[in-house]
Amino acid sequence: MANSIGIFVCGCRGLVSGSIDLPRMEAELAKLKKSVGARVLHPWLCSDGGRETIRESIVKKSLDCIILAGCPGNVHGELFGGLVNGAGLAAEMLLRLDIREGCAFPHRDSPDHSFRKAANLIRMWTARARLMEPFAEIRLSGHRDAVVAGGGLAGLTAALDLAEAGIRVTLIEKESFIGGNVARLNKVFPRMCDAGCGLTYLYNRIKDTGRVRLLTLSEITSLGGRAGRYEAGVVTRPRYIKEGLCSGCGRCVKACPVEAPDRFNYGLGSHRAVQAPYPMDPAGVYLINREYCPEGCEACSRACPAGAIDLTQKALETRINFGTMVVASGWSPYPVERVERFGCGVYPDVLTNMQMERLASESGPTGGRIICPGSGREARRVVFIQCAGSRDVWHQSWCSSVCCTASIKQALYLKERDPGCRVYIFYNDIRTPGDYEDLYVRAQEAGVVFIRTNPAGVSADPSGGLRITAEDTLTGRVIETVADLVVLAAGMTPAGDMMKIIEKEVVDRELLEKYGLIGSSGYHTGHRQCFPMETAAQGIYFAGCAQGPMDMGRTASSALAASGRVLKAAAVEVAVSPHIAVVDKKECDKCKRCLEECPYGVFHLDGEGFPVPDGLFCRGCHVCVGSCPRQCIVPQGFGVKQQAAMVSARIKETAPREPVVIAFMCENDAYPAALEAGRRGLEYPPNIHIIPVRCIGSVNMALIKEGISAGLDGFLLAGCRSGECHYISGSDRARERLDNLRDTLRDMMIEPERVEFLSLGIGEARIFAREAGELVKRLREIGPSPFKTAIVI
Amino acid sequence: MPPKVDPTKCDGCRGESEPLCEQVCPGNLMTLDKDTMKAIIRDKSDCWDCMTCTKACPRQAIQTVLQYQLAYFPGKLIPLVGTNSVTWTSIDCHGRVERFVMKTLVSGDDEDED
Repeated sequence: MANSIGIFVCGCRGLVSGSIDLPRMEAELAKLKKSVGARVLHPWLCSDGGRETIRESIVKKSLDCIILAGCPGNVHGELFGGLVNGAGLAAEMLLRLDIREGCAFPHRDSPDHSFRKAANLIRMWTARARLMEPFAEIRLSGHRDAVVAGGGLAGLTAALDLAEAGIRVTLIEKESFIGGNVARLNKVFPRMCDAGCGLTYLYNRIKDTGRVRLLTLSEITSLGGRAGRYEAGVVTRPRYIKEGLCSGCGRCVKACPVEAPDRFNYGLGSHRAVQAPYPMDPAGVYLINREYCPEGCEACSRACPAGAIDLTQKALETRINFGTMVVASGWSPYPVERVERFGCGVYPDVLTNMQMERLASESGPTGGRIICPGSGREARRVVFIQCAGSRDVWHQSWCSSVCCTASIKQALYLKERDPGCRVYIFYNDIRTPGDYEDLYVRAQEAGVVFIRTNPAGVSADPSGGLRITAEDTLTGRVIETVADLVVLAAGMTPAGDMMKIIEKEVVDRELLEKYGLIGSSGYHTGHRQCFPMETAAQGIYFAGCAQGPMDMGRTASSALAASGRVLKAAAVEVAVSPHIAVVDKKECDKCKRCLEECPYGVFHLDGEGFPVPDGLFCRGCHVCVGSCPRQCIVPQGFGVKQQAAMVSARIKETAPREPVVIAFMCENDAYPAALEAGRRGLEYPPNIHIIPVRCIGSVNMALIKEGISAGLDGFLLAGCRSGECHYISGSDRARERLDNLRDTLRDMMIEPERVEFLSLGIGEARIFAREAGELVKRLREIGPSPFKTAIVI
Repeated sequence: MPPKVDPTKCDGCRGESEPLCEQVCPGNLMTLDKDTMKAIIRDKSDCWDCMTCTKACPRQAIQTVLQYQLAYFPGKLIPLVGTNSVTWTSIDCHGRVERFVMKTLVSGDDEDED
């Protein structure tokens, strides 16, 4: 509670004093009595003399809150902030009141109105200042446990970054090996180095930290809790082999009677149901694929000399509690057998690009020789078909952005091994972004033939090869060619069930779609510019190909970005924003509406059932403040209490019988538009008294009800356009609440047109001026509020 | 006569086990219909028209219907709860409107001159 408020009104060298009569203002200021310690009118407050006046007043009159009425808050912010700080006041005890762009400029033709509006605003700001208190610093201990879902490149990169920062990480990988799809690449473009080398380096450093618990063969099956307090159910599949006993002699493999497709090689070739560990398997011991075992077969168990095989092992279910999570669930190749005309799955010599990668790899099924799996011949004519199922409305509509470069890379493998090999790339458009273009040029120089076509089909040729029919769309000719091998560029599709679990248990898919946080593809793209990496509730961040198709470089960057988001809330002690939501438990009756309306899901229930926001994730949007039916969410600084004081500060008509309107405006988009209107000198009625708020969703309907009961004639709520709100749903919430209130007003025989919602883009000054004008015009027609003559009991 | 819940506005306090009207009702008459996930009144005859639910509803979804002996259509009594006041709008059977404002909190600005 400020007890000695200093009111400083600046003439702004004529910009304000030109249309607002300052000497007359003196009499108005004199009417403000309670807790006002100084009333100063100055022609130019930001001048040396003006600043000295402020400093002197603060010290001499021991002011504890300052109202600067003059230019808008974004002008001279540092100058006045520093000045107030230097005089021993906290920065938040300086309240800026814009009577220049918000009053003098737009109403310069009606000085009397302008003067009265300025006097009203000063009165409102004084009421607010009386309730201001310096911020208490809020320090919270961070969330030191994190989960990384997915052990591919993104997951490993994020896990290492987090572990090196001292966070305890649980890394969950569904396969028996780490590295995901990257582990299975032959070479990495553009440097053509070996992917395994980078992964091994990453994994060794992860082991060095000693803070990463790696769970392979594990999957998250459930996810509960709220921001900062999640609990995941994890199921770990058994290996059926005891890790300490297996010596890797391989006798079990010889004894095993059944074949299982080789997952590591994308089904190219097979191994026995009991298998040697794949490369990049951190346990490094054998593994049984039980789903392929014949019933009752115990051949391996009998063959094992060490007694390491235990066919009765059961899946292990564990629950993990953690504060933050990086979802790096990656991608899987689009099932191209669905594109029937290309014959994948029918002709064994039609491969996917990832299978080609395995074929070219020395650790692959052919030891690195490009042997056609069907004909058994060395491939001498190879056709690559791009966009197999990509950019195709019947399959997946998006471009996976890497397949063109990947096919060019594979074409170069072939050309480097055998320059005589004929390589054709059938493409729709070659997309080699950035300097990947160099690879494109290299391939052209190496003699790779690029043909622009979307082939009609692949069929068997009597020669034993494959016949591809296509129309060259550049020349318009139909071409038929025969190849030993056809490689389909299968695009990326989101992998695993992690997304579904999140959409089921953490955030509604419907909500994500409504606000464009999820692509049509199912990738959690989030808001790429303003709030990248996040789409679900706070504390869950997306990295790598869970976010969208991307190459390895971008995958690693996005993993680091996601871990940066985790680290923000992970320090041992975090000094959080003073604006975070605070629940007054004395008033709260646990209705949990804040839990529902928080756009970020940061509320959880404490032991007594009271909702508590996780301060580390609270964005300070105050949408909960607006939602609370008890008005008991009381953030520091500017909450319902202060706003109510402003609304009921006995605002007077700017001219007899003129309607009085209060406009709550979102400080991100709508308020700047109003400022811009003032700056450009666009005229709007002086009846509009603007209160900037953090988000229009933070305006509690009780304020409007209070204003209407107090006889104010109209309200304008101006927020962002739907879907553009900085706090996701704030603007839509405000509109919804206002619509409901409007119906009640209609029942009360009060014109619902008195309250209006306006969506404004940041540059829409003209629209603001026009709409404000129309609202006031309408209010004049409707007449004064009936509550002006209500019986006060 | 009992409260009437507007199903288009009521969101059952988003499927919480106890919507706000259920928590505030002194007679424990309001509850959540598990099928529609909207608030309903268990027993209309037990309601004594205290209007607590009407005032508390954060979605303005509840109206209290007046007994027709008191005021048949279009008679209404509508509370509006502000931050520092409660107002009552009383509409009688002839459509005459009376409005009452009750201050619940006295603001600190009363020392200022008007």
